[in-house]
Amino acid sequence: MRRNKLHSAIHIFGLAIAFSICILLFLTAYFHLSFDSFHKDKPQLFRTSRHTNSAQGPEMSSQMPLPAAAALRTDIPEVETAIVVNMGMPENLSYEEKNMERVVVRTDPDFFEVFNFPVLIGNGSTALSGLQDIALSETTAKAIFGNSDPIGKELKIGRGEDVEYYTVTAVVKDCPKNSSIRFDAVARTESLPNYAQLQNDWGSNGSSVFIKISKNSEPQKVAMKLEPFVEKYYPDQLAQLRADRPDVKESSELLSLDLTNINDVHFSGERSAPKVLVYALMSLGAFILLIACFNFINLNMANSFKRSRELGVRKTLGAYKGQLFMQLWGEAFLLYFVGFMLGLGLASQLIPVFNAQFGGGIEISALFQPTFLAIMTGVFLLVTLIAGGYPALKLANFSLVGVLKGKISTKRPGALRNSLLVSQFAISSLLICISWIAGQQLDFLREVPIGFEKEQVISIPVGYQQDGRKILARMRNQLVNDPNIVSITGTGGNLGRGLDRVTVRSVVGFDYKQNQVSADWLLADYDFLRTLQIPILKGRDFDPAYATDTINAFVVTESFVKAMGEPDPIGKYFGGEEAGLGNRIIGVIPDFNAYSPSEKAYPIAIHLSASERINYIFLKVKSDNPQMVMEHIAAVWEKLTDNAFFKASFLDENLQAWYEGEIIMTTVFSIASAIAIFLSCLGLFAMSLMVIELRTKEIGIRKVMGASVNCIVGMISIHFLKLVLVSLLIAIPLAWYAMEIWIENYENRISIDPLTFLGVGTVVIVVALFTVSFHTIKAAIVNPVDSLRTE
Amino acid sequence: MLLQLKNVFKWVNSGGQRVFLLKDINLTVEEGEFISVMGPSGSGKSTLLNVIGMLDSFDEGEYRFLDEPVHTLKEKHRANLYKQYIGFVFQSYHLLDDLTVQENLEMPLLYKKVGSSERKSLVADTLDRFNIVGKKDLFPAQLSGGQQQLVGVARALISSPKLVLADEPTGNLNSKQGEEIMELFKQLNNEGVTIIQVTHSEKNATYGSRIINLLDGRKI
Ligand SMILES: Nc1ncnc2c1ncn2[C@@H]1O[C@H](COP(=O)(O)OP(=O)(O)O)[C@@H](O)[C@H]1O
Ligand SMILES: [Mg+2]
Repeated sequence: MRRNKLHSAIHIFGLAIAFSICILLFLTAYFHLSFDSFHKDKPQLFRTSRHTNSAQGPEMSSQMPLPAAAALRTDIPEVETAIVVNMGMPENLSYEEKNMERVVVRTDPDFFEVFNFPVLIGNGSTALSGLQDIALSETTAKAIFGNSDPIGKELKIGRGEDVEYYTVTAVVKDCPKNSSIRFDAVARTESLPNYAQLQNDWGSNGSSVFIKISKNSEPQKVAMKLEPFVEKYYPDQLAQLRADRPDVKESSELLSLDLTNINDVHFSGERSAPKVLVYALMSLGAFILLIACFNFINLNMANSFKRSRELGVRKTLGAYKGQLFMQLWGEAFLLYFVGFMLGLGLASQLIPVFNAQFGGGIEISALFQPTFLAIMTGVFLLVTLIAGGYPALKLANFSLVGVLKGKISTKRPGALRNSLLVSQFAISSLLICISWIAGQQLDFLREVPIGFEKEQVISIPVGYQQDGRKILARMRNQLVNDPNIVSITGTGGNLGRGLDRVTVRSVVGFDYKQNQVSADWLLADYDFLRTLQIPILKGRDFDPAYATDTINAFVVTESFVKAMGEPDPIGKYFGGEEAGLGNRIIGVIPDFNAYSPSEKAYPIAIHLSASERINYIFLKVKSDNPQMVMEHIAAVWEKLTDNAFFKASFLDENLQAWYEGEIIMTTVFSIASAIAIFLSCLGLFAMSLMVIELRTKEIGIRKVMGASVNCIVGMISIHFLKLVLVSLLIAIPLAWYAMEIWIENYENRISIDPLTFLGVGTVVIVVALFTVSFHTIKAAIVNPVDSLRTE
Repeated sequence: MLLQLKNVFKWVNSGGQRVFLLKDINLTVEEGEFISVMGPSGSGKSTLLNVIGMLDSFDEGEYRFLDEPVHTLKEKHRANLYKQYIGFVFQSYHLLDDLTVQENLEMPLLYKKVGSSERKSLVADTLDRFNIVGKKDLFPAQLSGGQQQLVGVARALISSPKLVLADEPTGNLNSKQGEEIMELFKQLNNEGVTIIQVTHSEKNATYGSRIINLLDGRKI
């Protein structure tokens, strides 16, 4: 009886944990797969993107020029409507005393008719009829206006002199978390600050353009019509590309507009979640569920066979086969159900933590929809039927005499049980290997010499609302005598990925004496090299004493010089010949990795400018307490900028953030593998108890025949050890192969150390033996007289 | 003298009460004796046999086996002693179902750390001696009860013990099979093996040279 309670507890506990993890993983996968699925016309909705094939190689961007929308609408009859969606940086919204940074989407008046964002107050079709009309999300409206009616109120957007006034015309339901289009407020394209310039500029790409095709038209047909469309609107760019790439014949291969159905937008584009990761999460969930179900089936079956005698008796008493079946199935059903409910409860408790940790937007309610319900019921029936029904059927077909004599216990259902156990340990070992190696690779990337100081450099995103040059000048002024600040500079783009999540990269290609060079163009300011502690190899750093330094002076990296093929680069001019000036190289620095450290260092050209926007301010600090300096800088920043949002981070954090996806995946895999091995051991724990019970008599006989405690422990341990070894033999080559493929993605990568597998093997074996030892040792020291007395 | 029990008591505590399983047992066994232990069910026969076989401990008294004071010996030493000198035969044979006859015979030798070649020859000799060469590759389930007990006796004797302890060896056999086993014991005893058997059958008891009667753990 006590044994049965222990078994039930193990069943339920294991199932609950597995179900909760599984639910979290599947909901996460579902969250990503369900992106943008709420638009009712989704088969007709497409996002356009540009595909260019220049000297630097192919490039894809979903950033489009403003005039494209109108052109698409008029030139292609199948296009019912085309709409600009411009998602910018957060802007400053103010009303009376209230003041906050929010994302304003600029779009066309039919926005609320094309997309499904329910309008709560006001009328969707007329909400954006005025050029200065604005619709607010529910949360934003609440935040600004509280409980008073926002309709008709006048809202101020911008700071200082650049302020525009808008009239609130509607309140919209907050956009769902699984929406690619995210906004706090929606206004007209015409209200963009530089609309007049952009309106007819096919060369500035800053907005998404969505099209809605008419109901019965084929997307392929529309795509075909986009070829002449490109010829018509991009003549200059095509000519340029043709000159760049004489090897490419078809103009559609040089520049094309592609359509992405709105369902796939989330998985395509520059900063998208790869679908593979979603499938990885799903397989992880499936693995965990599989392990738990194997446990369940194994334990339940073993338990049922143990009770064969009792059931045999029942059969003589006239219990029908059906009744026997129902009894065993019913028990399995009940255990499973309780486990599932506990798992569901646990999952709903964990969801907030999970969302906070992994930045998801999952909700338990997503579970209660037909597909999920069908899957859950299916798994439920399958597992309980195998776990409860299989032994029942098997018992029902055994000869009655056999059951009564207890013959069944001698024919142990070993093959199925062992293969389930082997699969569990193989999956667990596989997951452990994967997370271990992924962890090694990430650690390795962290240690890759990056070529510049990253620990003591703070990067502050200036933000859309501020003038970076002014702030940089004021900061220099304020902090010039601060002993904790070594130097200050400004840049056009961040290094790594900062708290503003923005990565801007501009690559420029040119010819230099028959050599094709393509390089990252980096806008910087004075003291850039000093701030990042990059040494000068040849020539000099930028210097305010030379007036031309802000016009055409360049500091370039070694690989840049190598690509030029110029032995003596200092003072040489490159590119821009048509301007008559060209760019002059004043200094050469060692290579460094401006973007992802997992890639090879790319040639870099650094230049100054008097007018281009400074988007980031870098400060090199010198202190034992960088956190304190950070706080000090924050205070200075707030004073200088009139309380603009301070989103500073250290450069090494930015570089870390580059691997956010990998770090999250590795964390998830580590947790999952810990749970997998835990569940497997839970199964092994109960299984070893079962096996030992079946072998009690044998152990007794062997002891009477002279076997020592060590002999017995060894004998049973070896039985399980063999199974674990088989699973390792399955898992290790798989893990090795999979991880070889994975690390191929990284330019800087570890070589997989076979000792890792030895380590994993040892860990798994030790854990398994430890688990088994609880029961083996107890069984081995039992006095054989007691185990043989049963007659 | 092979073994001697002096004032041996064995008890268990049940509900705060001492329940005696063996009470003041005095017994001396000489080498070459054939003793039958009799008594009603629950009188302590098996317990006595287990104490003699060193499988079970006792709470009071002395036990000397071949002049070794068993009651003071360390577990390991005691195990070596019974491994070397004592063989067991059980009512329900206690053969391992998963092993063949040959493997069942070999098993005790493994735990006595007998070398492989010696094991082979001992097993072959024993199979020969008990006339079961033809059955060596069969599993216990493929044998009749009498044949299984024959294997059980063969297993007990394979490492030439001085003492064989048999707890109702014929209890599961029909009378003809039982008789054969008793004849076998008789023959072994003639070859010098000391035998202590538990039996309910007066007839089987007569094979022995001496009868011990137990009642409620006490010798009468
Ligand atoms: N470890 C024990 N704990 C409690 N009672 C026991 C124990 N061992 C034996 N007994 C009891 O002692 C009595 C004698 O048992 P046993 O020696 O097996 O009798 P016999 O073999 O003569 O039938 C029985 O009543 C039995 O239940
Ligand atoms: Mg008995």
